[in-house]
Amino acid sequence: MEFDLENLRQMMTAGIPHMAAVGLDVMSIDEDGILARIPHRPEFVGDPDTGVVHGGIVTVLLDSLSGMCVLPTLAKAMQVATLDLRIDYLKPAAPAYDIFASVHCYKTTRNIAFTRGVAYQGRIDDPIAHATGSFMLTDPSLANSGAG
Amino acid sequence: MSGNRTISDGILAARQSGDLQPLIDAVPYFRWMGLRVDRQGDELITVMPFQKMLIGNPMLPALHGGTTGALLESAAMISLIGAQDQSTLPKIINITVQYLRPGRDLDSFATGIVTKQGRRIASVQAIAWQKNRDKLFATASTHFLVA
Repeated sequence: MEFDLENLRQMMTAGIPHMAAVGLDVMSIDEDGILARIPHRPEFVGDPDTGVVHGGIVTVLLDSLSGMCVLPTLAKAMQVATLDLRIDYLKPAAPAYDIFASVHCYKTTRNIAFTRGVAYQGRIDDPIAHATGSFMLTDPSLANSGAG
Repeated sequence: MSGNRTISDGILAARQSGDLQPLIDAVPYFRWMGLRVDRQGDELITVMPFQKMLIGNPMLPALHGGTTGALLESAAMISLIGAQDQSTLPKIINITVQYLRPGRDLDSFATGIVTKQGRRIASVQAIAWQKNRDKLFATASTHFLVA
């Protein structure tokens, strides 16, 4: 499916309260993956002694992108519900810098999508976290209740 | 660098008083998320009171999965701090969150069970529920570096 970046940005910032609350900024999205960032804010600090951002913000970023990156890979609109998400924290985030992430969907079957990606600050090949996710796909015309 | 004072002092004070809330209040992200800690016997329950800004799916409505992950990660760490002797903050190595059903627009609760306390590594399982503790909406398996 084709994705209009401006529409998506609008939907994320105006339509989804938690993405708006963290200031999620989608920079690009297509079937090859999604790139986005969360701009640094002092409220996101997890260790007041070092100023390092809490893992929860990294989780929110990777969770959001993992779900979203599935959408452009689908032949038609489906409901995407997270089954599981694993995050490996590879090194502490540097204080006061924005956190970027790049995630892609590497396999979809009739029912399931699989994703992987990284969160980083300076260089994508020196990530702060790595994520793998799996998602259940549901055809909205067949769904009888909202899953996810 | 201020030399890790706030957190180690906070952990020591929390251990003496049995109250972890001042430690929670020292962490900006926990304050922003509105997290609270309730002690029930020897169990520490991390509470994430519902706020509109936690919504990830306005149609259902449902909590953003990332906030559920953050709650489980925080609860795992808080329960681990309560269970161990160190005055340093455990460092998370990894977390696997299983999403069992959508988190609704309600207060959420989570706690961690320390399944293995090693010298360097601790394993903590975390569970999260809303109205009914028998109906979990997410669980997590975590590892922390504690040395």
